[in-house]
Formats: sequence, C-alpha cells, structure tokens
Amino acid sequence: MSRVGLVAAGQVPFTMERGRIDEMMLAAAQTILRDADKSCIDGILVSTNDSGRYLGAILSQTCGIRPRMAHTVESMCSSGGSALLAAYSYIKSGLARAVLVVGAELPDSPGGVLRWDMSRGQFQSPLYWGSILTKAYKRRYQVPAESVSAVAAKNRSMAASNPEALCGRRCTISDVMASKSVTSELRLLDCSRACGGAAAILVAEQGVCDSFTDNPVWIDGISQSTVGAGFGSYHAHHKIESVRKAADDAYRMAGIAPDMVDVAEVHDAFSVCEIMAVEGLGLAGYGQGAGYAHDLYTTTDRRINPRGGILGSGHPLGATGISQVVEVFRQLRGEAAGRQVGGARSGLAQVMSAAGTSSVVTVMRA
Amino acid sequence: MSVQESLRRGVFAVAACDACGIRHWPPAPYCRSCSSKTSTAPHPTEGTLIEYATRDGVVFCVCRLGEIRVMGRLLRLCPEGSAIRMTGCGMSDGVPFFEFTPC
Repeated sequence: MSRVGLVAAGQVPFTMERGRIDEMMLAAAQTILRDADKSCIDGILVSTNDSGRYLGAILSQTCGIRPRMAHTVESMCSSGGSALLAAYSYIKSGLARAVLVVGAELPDSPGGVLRWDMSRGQFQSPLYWGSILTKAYKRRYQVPAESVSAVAAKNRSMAASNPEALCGRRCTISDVMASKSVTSELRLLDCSRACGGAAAILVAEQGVCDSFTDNPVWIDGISQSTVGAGFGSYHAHHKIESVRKAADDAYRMAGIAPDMVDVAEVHDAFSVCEIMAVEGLGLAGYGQGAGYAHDLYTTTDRRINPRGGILGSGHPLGATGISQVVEVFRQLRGEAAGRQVGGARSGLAQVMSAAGTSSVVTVMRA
Repeated sequence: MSVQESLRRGVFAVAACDACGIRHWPPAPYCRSCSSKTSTAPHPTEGTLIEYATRDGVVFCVCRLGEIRVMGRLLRLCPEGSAIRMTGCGMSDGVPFFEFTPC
C-alpha cells in the first residue's frame, strides 16, 4: 500500500503578541508554499481552538488554493495531532493527494479550560490536574521534586537554541526549584505558558511526493486513543493511559519498537507530563521516567523534545502538535541546525489533551 | 430538576439511567450503556480521598464517591486513602463547587 509522506514543514516564531489568526496561519503556510506546486493540494485543515469561523476556507482563499475539503479540527491541546490524523486518513482513503495542515492559535485562546467537565468542580485550571498528577507520581514512585523538575531545566535550556521558541534560556534544576511556587507541587518553571503561534506541514500521497521534494519523511504509524473527556475518567493518576494505547497502535502500524526511536517530541505541558509520556511511549519503564529525564539533562542529550518542548517553546494550543511534527521533520532530514540529534532516522510526536484523556502518537521515518 | 439545580440547592446529584441505573458524571441526558434517558439522582456523599495538593493555602483534592470521582476543596487535611464526606456543594457563577471533610 502507498505510503504517506511529509514533504514540507515550517513555522513562525511563537509570541505573546495578539495578532489576527487568519494572518498568523497564512504566515506559517507561506513558509512552505513559496516553493510548492499548489495545484496538487486538494485538502486544507486548520488546527485551532480559536472561535474564529470558517478558517479552513479562509486559508484556502488567502493561499490561492481551491481544495476539495477545507475545515477546522478542534481537539483542545491535541488538535494538531488530530488534524494530522485526519489528513493522513484523507490521503489513505484516496479522497486527497496532498493536504496542507496549519495549526494556529492566539495567546488568549479559550482552549485551555474544559467547562463541560463538572468533575473538576471549582478547580478548572490545568494547574490543578497538573498538580494532582505530579503529587501522585512523586508519591507512587518516591521521586523528589528536583527529579521531576529536571524536565523543565532540560527543555528550557534546549529551547535556547531554537529561534522560534517563546522563552528559551539556559536553566538549571536549582533555577526551577527557586522559581515561584504556583502550587505545592508545581514551580512556575514547571508550567508551560499559553502563547500565540502557527506551524504548517504539507502531507502527501507517495505518488505525488516527488512533486514537492526528493527527501520526504514518511508517516509510518499514527493513532489516537481517547479514554474519556473528564478528569474523573482517570483510574490512576500516576500514569497517562491514553499515551500507552495510542503508542502501542502506532508502533504496531510502523513495525518498530520503542528502542528504535531516535528522537521524540512529547507533550510536556507540565514537567511531570513528559515523564509520564516517555513511560507511556515505552522509552522508559514505569517509575523510571524522572531518572531518564535527569540523565538526559546531565548529559545534554537532546533526543526528547530537542526544540525545547512545550515548556521551552511555549504552548499555542492548536499549533503545538504541528510544531512538534515540524521539529521531527527537520530532525529526520538533518536540518535542525544547532539542536540536531546526530544520526536520527526514526522519530515520533506525542500530543495530548484535557489532562491526557486523549493522545495522538505519530511515528515517522526518514 | 437538573443536576445543576440540585447542586444549587446544596444536594449532590448525578445523572442516573432510568433503565439500568448506571451513573453518569459529568451528567448526560442519555445512558452510555443502554441509550435510555437519564434522570437527576442524589449520589452518596461518603467516599475516599485519592490525592490532594495545595495552592495559596487552599487544599484541593480528588475524591472517589462510589463509582465516580470529584475534585473539590478539602476543608481539613488528612492522608490519602482517608474516609471523607462531601459536606458542601453548589454553583457559583455557573461553575460547580464541592467541599470535603474527613469523616
């Protein structure tokens, strides 16, 4: 069966400035359309939590493309992963040959809070579930706060070599621990920051990849797992069940094992999220994710979240999942400049939403 | 009466299936199991503290009440696994709130 490839990827720098969503998504699209044959593009998907209307069609007009399908995909923080899954499916089914996927968000997007979830009571902010997960993990595995915060120190430091990141600067575990206590479990630097930003990828059926590039990155596995929507859906708070389910499917589809992954972008909305993600992805055993992150930090190993993750790059919700794929695309083509992971041939992106109740995992190969 | 109206009156309630009795939380108008309609039903208020943390002196927690889980404010510290009781609930500016006390 024909493969699906990524043939172009680009993004604009993340920002706290409040611009216009239509202009932001167009700017990201233009980073990859300048050199592209637009006549092959027959699908446009916009990943966003913005309340703007008809953004897929607006992007088609402003890009000068008349696609078959053009619409928005919203799935809170994992919108980007869901949009890529939709693009992949359109291509696999034969409904489209090439799909432009753009993720875009403004800093004041309403997508951070799920009002429907009455089980959260008066504690609606993500800070509360982030704190509960952190406490549960530390208690279950007797892990000190410093080990969890190694994730923030690592990722914020790596973002220093990412010119598109919101706030990259060198950072130590001591810096994280000395930052303001937001809750008993979270320091300020353990928390990602919502921001604006946009990222774009072009996904194509194998037969037309040549029209765009002679060096595509193949999407060999992709899956989404949803265990519910409310925080009350959790059966255990020391792990994120949806990650493991999506990863198992994506690995099986790609025919690879976790130890074959050279580079990964994972969803580190809070420090503990990266730890739970690498455990769910099988990159570290359960209870070993914090030690794994600490080792990466002390050895400046960039294999997890080389662009700085969400903690370092910022979190423009609908753009996050696409930006992760942009980074893996660059890594697998050897185009990640000062943050290149040497010899990377296989990579993955994992993004999740609403306290991890849904996750998308995408496995890519050079 | 809706679940929100019940909470407004200080009575904790969820949606329960009219046919099979399954509880739905957050509430839903139809049963996820048998597709029958649901009705608002009072729910047991005694359960177990699963996890807690604090922010600015406020203790927030997750408690298990029968087959459902609820986040709320813990009015007096106690260890995880302790028996707790929901001693307050309501709606404030359209947002539900819950309060728990150790038994």
